[in-house]
Order: sequence, then structure tokens, then C-alpha cells
Amino acid sequence: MLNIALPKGRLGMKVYDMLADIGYECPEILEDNRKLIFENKKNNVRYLLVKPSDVTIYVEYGAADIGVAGKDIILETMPDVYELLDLGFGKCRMCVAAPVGYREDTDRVLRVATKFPNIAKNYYMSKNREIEIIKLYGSIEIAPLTSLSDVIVDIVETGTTLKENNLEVIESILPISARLIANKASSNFRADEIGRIVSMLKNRKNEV
Amino acid sequence: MKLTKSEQTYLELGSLYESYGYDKFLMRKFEEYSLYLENKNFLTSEHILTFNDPGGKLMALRPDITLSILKNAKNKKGAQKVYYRENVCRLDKRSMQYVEIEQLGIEAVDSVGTATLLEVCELAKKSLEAVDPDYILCVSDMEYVLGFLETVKGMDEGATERVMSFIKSKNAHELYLELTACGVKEEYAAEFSSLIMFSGTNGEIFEKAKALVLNQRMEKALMNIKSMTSESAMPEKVKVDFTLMNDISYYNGPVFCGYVKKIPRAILTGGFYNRMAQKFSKTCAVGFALSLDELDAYYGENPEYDVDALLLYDSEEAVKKALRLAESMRSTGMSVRIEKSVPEGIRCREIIRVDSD
Repeated sequence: MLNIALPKGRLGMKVYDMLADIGYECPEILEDNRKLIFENKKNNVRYLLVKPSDVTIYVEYGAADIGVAGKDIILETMPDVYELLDLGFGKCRMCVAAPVGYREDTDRVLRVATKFPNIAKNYYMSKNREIEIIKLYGSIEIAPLTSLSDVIVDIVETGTTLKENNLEVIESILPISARLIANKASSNFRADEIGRIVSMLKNRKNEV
Repeated sequence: MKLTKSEQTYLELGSLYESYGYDKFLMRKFEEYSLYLENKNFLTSEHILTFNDPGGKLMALRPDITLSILKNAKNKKGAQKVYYRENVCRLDKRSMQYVEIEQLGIEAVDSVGTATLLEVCELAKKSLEAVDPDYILCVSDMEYVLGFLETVKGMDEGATERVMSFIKSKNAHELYLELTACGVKEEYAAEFSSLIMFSGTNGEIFEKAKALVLNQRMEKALMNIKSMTSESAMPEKVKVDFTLMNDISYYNGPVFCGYVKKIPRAILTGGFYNRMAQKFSKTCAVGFALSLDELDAYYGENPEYDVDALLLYDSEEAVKKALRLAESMRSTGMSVRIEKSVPEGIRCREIIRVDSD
């Protein structure tokens, strides 16, 4: 039985559609209920619907053989997993944003509010800039508007939320997209099956 | 007494290592902190538990075994082969708490040649087999990747770090982009990137890797990989894996990593660390460590009962009778516990009430 961890929500369903197309169908997952584990014995597959930020943990600890996680989560948590394929969707950017017209005072420590402290820390370390990280769990955009921070480091998809809160992107850190990840032990013991999935998903991606 | 999986494994492998001429090496639980400070890149984490000894010297709870063995071997002449069963104290990156990890391993210092390489590989396989016959030993030679990287002229330190990280995580798509950005020809970058992802037979991987050889360093590495895979008693259990890359300041040459079916991460890691050995006036060194910690969690048996029989006595007069009965039952191989009342949560096959009559 191949265990696949999918992020709950729209992204997870998109991935499921792709996997169903290549032979890992499990129609029960499409039913409107609160179940989190779905199994199709005929196709020898079990799906686990988990919080997007937990997919890497399920895969790293072997509860799932493979999974799909955003590059932002992978960089933030640095899981000991293989990153086998860029699925090419869920695209957005990790950016530094600040109030419109903001000018950085390089004479003092920069206060950075973010849900991604490790990504922010590594980015500013590469620029040798002294920062203070303020870890938040949501509504990051409020932080610079209330002087909690100078800037924010966050994911930007369309930029609408920033615009509506009078913020703008001042630096782009890196592009983000959904990645297929795999547990290292499973990758060895189920090398053929996982290799086949990667190859079929790659072909499907190229066809789109 | 029923032995745990880790105890059984230690007993079996201790005898195995001794049959190959490895001596048991017992060491202190702590070392001077300076040993780790001078070699901090060799360690998996910079976080080390320290304390001051009564003389004011800064000491550390040992986070690594290899350094202690090299330190001990420094002033000894000739080849040394040792095995150990020791605990290391490390910071767990997830829980951010210090944990004790029990390791069983071997080290061969200044024992050069293909014989040592093949012997250590064989011992690695036998060690994994002792845990579970369903195992895989992944092997590689870091010189293959390093030999390729030395041909890439436009690669700064940051790019090298990224390339290594992409290789280790089998991230072929970003590896390809990074290599082409560093000036590697698209066709070669694509082939090299697909090599780290390739999951064919060892023969197929070997042929693919052979076609990408650019210098003697890569060629020699490939020969070592071939030796490790083809001159093996169980070649189907050995897989070539070019993603195995340790810290290049210390490690070089052949590396290996082992998995068993029930454990979701590598339980055996090792390789040649000649650069490290040279810091201790030695020419070469190779070894591996097997993590014993997780064996009991994944391979431990959960018995149905805590005890075969629970004898309950109802009065002081019944104690002697209960003791006699328990003794006779134990002589038949049963486990027997005596109590006045049933302890909370106990699971026993049978409860026998002993009264004074």
C-alpha cells in the first residue's frame, strides 16, 4: 500500500486529480465528509489529508511514502526527504514587502515579521544584514502598519492583499511552487513504483 | 530475561566484529570541549552540552564517537580496528531537546586498500542483515561528484553549496538550472541531473555514470563503486546512490548508508574520512555507525501480558503459602508477581487468589 500525504484544500485536490489520472484513483476522497484517511485497496493506495505545513513531517517520519508540499514549507522546515519533482503549479513568490514609499534605515536592526523565520534569517544572512525576527502565525500584513515590524517576509501570489493594505513588494526572495517529496527509505524500498510516479507526473506536466 | 532487539543486535554484531579482528573500544562519556570546537564541521550539530570540571576545564558530553577514536589513535603506530557501543548526546532538531543516541559502530584507522573498503562494506551489510534481512545498503564515492564539480569553472562557494544540497535531496530540476547557470553544457547538465534521480539497476546506473566521466578522479571513483557493488555476496542488496554526500572538509571517497524495511530513515551511515584522519596524523580512516536506538521502537515485541500469573494473598497468614506457590511456578519458567491487591493497569495471564486456609 502506497501512502500519499496531500495538503488539505484546493492544492491537495489538484494533486489528487493528477494522481488519479495516472492510476491512483480513490473516489471516496471526493465525497463531502470529514474523513482524513482514504483507501483504495484495488489501486493499493492510501491518501492522508493533512495540514499543508505537516506534509513534510508525515513524509520524513515515514507515515507517508510520498507527499506534496510547497517549496516554502520545504525551505522553512528543511526536512530530510527527497524533493523529486517541481509539479509546476501553486506558483507564487517569497517576497519582502513594506508600506508603500518605505525607505530602509540601514543604521539600525531591521524588524522582520514573518511566518517563515528560517527563510527570512537565511535571506538576510546572505546579505549580512542584522535583523530581529518577529514570528507571526497569520495576518502578517498588519505588522508594518502597526509598527510591529519594518517589513514582512511572506508569500505573494497576486499581490492583491498587499495592495489593499497599502503594502508593496520591495524584494523578491525566490519563486515557490508545489513539489513532490518522498521518504528516503521508501524511495529505496519502493524505488520502481516511486520512479514510475515521477516519470508519469513529469510526462503529464509536459503535456499540459 | 528476554533481550531487546538492540541488545540482541549488539551481542550478534559484537561477536561478528571481533571475528574480523576488531577490538572493543571503551571510552569516557565526555571529552574536552576544544576537541569539538576545532572540528565542529565534522559534527552533525554545533549544539554541544558542556560543563566545567573541578579544575575549570570546559568539558563536553560526547556528541560524536569518531573524534574520540581518532584522538586515541593519534599516537599509536600502525593500523587499528576497533568497534564500540556508546551513547552520544545530540540536539534533536525537531524537538530542540538534547537526546542520548546509542550507537554501535566500527572504525578502521590507517588500514589502507581495497580489502578494507570491501571488508567494511561487507560488515555494513551484515550489520543491517542482523537487524532485518530486508535491507538496502546504498553506496557511492563522493569523488565522482567532486571530480565533476572541479571541472565547472564558474562555480563560487554559494553555488557549490546549492549544488550539493540539490544532489543530496535528489532535486534534479533545480540541479539542472544551477549547473547550466554555472556554465555547464545543457546536455551534460541534463544527463548529470537525471543520473542522481535514476532508479535502474546498478549496471544501468554504472553505464550512465561511465558516459559522464570527465577525468581520472571520476573514473577512479566509479571503479570503487563498481567494487562495492559487484564484489559483493548479495549484490541485489547494494544500490548505487550518487546523492550520498557528506561534509567535504572531512569526508572523501566511498560513502555508504543503510536502510531496513521497518525504519523510515537511514540507520547506518559511514564512509572514508581521510581528511579528518590526516588532522590526527593518520593517513586514512573508514567506519560506520549503526543507530541502535530505534530498533526497539520499530522491531520491539509488545508482549500480551506483563506477567504470567498474579498471586493475590488475602492475609499475612497467606504470605508464606503465596511465596511457596510462586517459587514453584517460577521453577516451571513462569513469571509470577505477588501482591495484596491487583495493581492498576497490570496485564496478567491469570490471577490466583491465595488464602490462608
